[in-house]
Amino acid sequence: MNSNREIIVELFEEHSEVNFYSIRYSDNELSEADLFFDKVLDNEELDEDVEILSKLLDKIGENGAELRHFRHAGTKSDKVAALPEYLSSTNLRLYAIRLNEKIVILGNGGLKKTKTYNEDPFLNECVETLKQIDRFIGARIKNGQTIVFRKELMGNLKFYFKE
Amino acid sequence: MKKNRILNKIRKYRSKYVDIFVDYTFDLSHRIQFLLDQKSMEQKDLAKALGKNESEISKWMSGSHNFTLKTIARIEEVLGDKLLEIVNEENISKGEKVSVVFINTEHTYTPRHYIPLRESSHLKKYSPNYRNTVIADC
Repeated sequence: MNSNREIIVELFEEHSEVNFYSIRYSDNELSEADLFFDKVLDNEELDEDVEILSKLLDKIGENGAELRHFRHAGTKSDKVAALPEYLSSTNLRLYAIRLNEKIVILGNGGLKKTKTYNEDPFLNECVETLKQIDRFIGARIKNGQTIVFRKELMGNLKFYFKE
Repeated sequence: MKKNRILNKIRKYRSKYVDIFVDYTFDLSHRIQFLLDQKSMEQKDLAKALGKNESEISKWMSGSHNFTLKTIARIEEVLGDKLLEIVNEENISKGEKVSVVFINTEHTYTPRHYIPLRESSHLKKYSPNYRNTVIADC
């Protein structure tokens, strides 16, 4: 029997110029971004990169989510990207939807040890989930079910994925 | 404003040098973009002028790239404008307030708009009007 899994987009952090949202499966207490940071904090090798990423989120939050701060991850037509765009030491990736300069929806991610994210099942799932949410949000913005107002995302932010 | 518990924990224990490093790298990329916009140039024009791939310029503009001084010098040469400036300690005398400019932004420094900071008596440390500018007592 096919069942649907519910995903909720909710506010993760608020900054002066940008709101960061994250996605949360309704059967989890923690959002995907919480799970990402929890996971990478356990890896001592990533200490510096995690600190850099956290500071980068602060700077983006204060200054705006410019395209150049993100590495495009999905297809040409979607807004899925990875943060940071560049790290000299590791290939740590936090996948996100850069909806516009003021709204970013954080997903999950990890250390990319393969040439492309598609070759890593977990990272591939992170990106594919965000691609779907990007499509759903786009459609709901068009039909008015979801509203973007300055740095706020409002309206219907629950999505259902078939398992 | 809502802040995330885990990120707040990271912020609390984050190394000070990381804060300084990303402040530099992020603001440098911002400054370069400002100068490119001012000169109606795109990243690909900068790449061409420097003989680099566009992907390398993308890395520079990401906000977390560790620039070498040589790279900064080459970018300054192409763009014809300052990206950063070092404190000149010869001008510091006891009791004199001086400015320590880390990164030049469009609001604090351009050759046309530069105001020597010792003339700006209202300037306070980390004044929001002079981002990245500090007055240090010597």
